[in-house]
Amino acid sequence: MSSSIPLIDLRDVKKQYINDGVATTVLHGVSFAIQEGEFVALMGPSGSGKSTLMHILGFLDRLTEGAYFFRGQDVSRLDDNALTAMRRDQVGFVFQAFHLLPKSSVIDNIMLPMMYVGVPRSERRKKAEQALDSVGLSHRTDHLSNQLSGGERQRVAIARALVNNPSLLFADEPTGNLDSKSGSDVLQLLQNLHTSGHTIIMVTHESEAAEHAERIIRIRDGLLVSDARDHARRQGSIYNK
Amino acid sequence: MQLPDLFMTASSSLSRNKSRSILTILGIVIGIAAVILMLSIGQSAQGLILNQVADLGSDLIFIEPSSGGDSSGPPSAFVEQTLKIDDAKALERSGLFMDVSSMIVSSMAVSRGEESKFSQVTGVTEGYLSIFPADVAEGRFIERSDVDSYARVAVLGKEIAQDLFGDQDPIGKEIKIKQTTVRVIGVLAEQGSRFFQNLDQRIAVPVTTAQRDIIGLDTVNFIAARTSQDIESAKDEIRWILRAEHDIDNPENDVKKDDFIVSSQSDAVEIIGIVGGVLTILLSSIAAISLVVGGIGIMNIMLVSVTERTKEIGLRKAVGATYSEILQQFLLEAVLLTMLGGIIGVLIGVITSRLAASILASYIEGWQSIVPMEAVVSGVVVATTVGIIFGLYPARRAAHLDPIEALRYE
Repeated sequence: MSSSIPLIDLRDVKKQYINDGVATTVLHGVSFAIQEGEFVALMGPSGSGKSTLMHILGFLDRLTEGAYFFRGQDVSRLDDNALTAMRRDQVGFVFQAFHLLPKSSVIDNIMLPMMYVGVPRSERRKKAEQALDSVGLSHRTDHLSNQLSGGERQRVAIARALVNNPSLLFADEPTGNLDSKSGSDVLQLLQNLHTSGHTIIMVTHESEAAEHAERIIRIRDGLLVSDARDHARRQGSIYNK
Repeated sequence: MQLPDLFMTASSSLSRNKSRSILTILGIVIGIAAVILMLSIGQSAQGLILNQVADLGSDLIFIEPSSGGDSSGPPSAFVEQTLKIDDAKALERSGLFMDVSSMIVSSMAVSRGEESKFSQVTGVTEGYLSIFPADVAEGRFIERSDVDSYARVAVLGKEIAQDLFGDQDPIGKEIKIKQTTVRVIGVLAEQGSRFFQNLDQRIAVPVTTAQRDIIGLDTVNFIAARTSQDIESAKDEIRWILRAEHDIDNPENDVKKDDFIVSSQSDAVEIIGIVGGVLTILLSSIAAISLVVGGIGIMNIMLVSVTERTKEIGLRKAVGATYSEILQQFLLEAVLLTMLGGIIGVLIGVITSRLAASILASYIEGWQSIVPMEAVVSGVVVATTVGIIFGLYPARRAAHLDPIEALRYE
């Protein structure tokens, strides 16, 4: 597996913001690679730069220095439209605040990304129903999204993120707005998706949530501080459990 | 993004905010409706006058006194009266005209016993009825012999006859115009009004009698003639004849040197057309102002909408909406709003125009409802254009939003 081209290959990525003429460096040089099929948790306290990192990985933001190869293609210098196309065709997002359109039905919410990809209208509903089925909410098809519970909303958001068959699923604090029961349901769902072959990157600051991933990358002050895989973590785990 | 998707997206966001959408387009609706109503009334009034002008026939020529200068000024009270009955006679003698009639008009008190009324007393010749056609209901009209003999006779309009005599037969009875006693020889049938003057309140007397015995002038207010010739050459003929009569040396045919104006019905039509054109320009500028105000309202609400839907925009961008897809969506929302406003405004404008016309028609004879088609079409087109112009800025704001910032927006 390590011999094949990684899905994501970050090389010494730096990110600097300039606000009112004052430069703030958020990432000081981060490098790692993620293979297809991995379930990675990106951890770090707030202000660590993990969100910025996720935005760069998810084509929502650009890096200042370094390089980002996606399936071997250098994406660090893409223009806005090319980045939009990458978001549209390669990734699915799950947000902490769900970001469903409140007065639209569940099925309409799931069909939304297909509109921008250009899936024929006749196929959209069927695909959306399949995605909804895969998160176990077939019975909610025509409900309005604001009639659902938090856990259900997040599952709808996951269905929406999956509907275009992305190469990569981003989950930004997916359990942050949920009670523990719904939270563990959502994590279980992510794990099932991973098992069925999806590549998942989850940003979280909850260790419990991160436990569901097979690899944990920790960021602090814009630097990578640890990158531990499942078996290593289990062996030396004195903090966990 | 396919076109049907664009329409579905834009129209569903609008229908989610129905009451706001309706309030937003109210300015456009009222603006367009008001313009159509005003244009309709303006054109109907113009049509009414043009119809009355046309009823008199295009072969009619009027000669009025003038102190020279511009021929298109307003009629002035201080214009020196230069026309005489002899001028009309000279025109008759030329044999170029079918009918010639000289007229003098004055408002004065008319009485019969205790009954007294103000009436427009018109001194006319026997040719009057062929200039201004009307039916004689009773008795007879003024004849040549009445004019030549300064006969003290009068022909009454229908209403003034009723006012003075009620149900009695007025023929042969006497009335007083100022201090002069005249005998009624005829009553005209109902004529209605022309150029907003009630013809049924008028009294006709021989022009000679009017000059010498009633008004006390030797001039006339105007001379009217009908010709079978080409109008412009007939007008020139009249000028040459009158210049000879008035001893005016004007070989270069400069109408400013004349002490009279010769005008035809087509001149009147032209003037009415100019007035109508000015009216249209005036209404169009009011329309433009109201549409700009309406457009600013649209822009305002669209900006609010963009702010409110920042998260939605962020999400759409995150799932792959391009700059132009967001721009198109919001632009289309604005255009759909104003287009709808334009259509509703046109409908309301047409309905109120018809209503106004049916009310006016019961007061003004011959009033017809005219709804200008070009206003209906341009109403919708202009409203749509307003949507594009005033929707562009909010749509660009939406399309320029940074997805990260937009998703974080609270």
